[in-house]
Amino acid sequence: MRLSLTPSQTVGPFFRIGLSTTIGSHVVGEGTPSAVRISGQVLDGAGEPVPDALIETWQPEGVGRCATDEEGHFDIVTIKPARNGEGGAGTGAQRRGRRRDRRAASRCVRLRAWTAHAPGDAHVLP
Amino acid sequence: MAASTHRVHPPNDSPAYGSSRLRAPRQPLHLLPGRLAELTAPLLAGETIGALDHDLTRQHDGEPLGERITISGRVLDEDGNPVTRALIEVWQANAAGRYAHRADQHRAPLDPNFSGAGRCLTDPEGGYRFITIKPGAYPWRNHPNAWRPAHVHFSVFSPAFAQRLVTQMYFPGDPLFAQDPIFSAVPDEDARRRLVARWSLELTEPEWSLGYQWDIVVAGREATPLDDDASE
Repeated sequence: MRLSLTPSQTVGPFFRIGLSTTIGSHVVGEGTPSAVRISGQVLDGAGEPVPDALIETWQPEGVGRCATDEEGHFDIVTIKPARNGEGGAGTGAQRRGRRRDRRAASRCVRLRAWTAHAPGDAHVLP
Repeated sequence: MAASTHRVHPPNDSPAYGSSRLRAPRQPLHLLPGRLAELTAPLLAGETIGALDHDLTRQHDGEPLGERITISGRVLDEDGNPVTRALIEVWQANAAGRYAHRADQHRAPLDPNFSGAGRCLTDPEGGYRFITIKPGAYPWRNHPNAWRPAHVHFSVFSPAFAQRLVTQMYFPGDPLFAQDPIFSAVPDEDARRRLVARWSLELTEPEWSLGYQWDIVVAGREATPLDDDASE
């Protein structure tokens, strides 16, 4: 039987209590030879920095997580994703399809952002 | 869009939830083609879950004030398969409705014996269990005299990108549901009901604590990410 999904809900303004330490902003150590830094700023629809956003990055090598600072900046230290070596039998079209999928899926870092209530909407200090 | 996600997740822009107005994407999300990323590296590099990390009542010298509760259930995918070794992180307000966070300015007392955060990994059956105290309701400024129903924040993290979920668990019979724009932003009534735990006699320990049962259902490992809903 197909089960129905649990809905998502906002991460809220206090996620740092629960999400701060388990997974951090370093997917690899700072000194790793091929390390790269992904930095950015989260802005709202009015162009104002979002100081309480949560950024997560995903790639086969690991996951990174960073809360934005007061200016909305985030910083993730990781490596460029490697190409996966999966292959195997199949028709020519299937093999071409897999190659296409691998190129698309394994050479990118997926990034997702969560935001909560804007300061002032909660009993939250800016 | 998969039929199973229709009307389940709140739209990113929910007008009654004031903050979402400027904080929701106006453009469709950039969906990448191909298979979705699955982590091949360990989820917790060099870190382990402590034996008491699931027990929010034993993180300090004394016991926290409030109604002691157990919250337990399973994490399953849409096909009913257990999601094993998923990282579940929870955080919540104390019994008076205040978070141990410097930015929470609600005029309710802090509890020196309650930090309000816990974590665990799901077992081979997808099971999890937390021991905590029931969080209090608290006011916020979304609209005049707005109050959040009592809730525990849940983050579910499996190695599959498609299964990532951040949500909140509520308690049965809360009178504050109807006026809460976050709970009400879930379009479908049955879906809203799935955010509410069930009081459980089996999980209630005599002379000790009340028990609540709450199962969490996440997408299949290669499903379309849930944000797809909002990109239409």
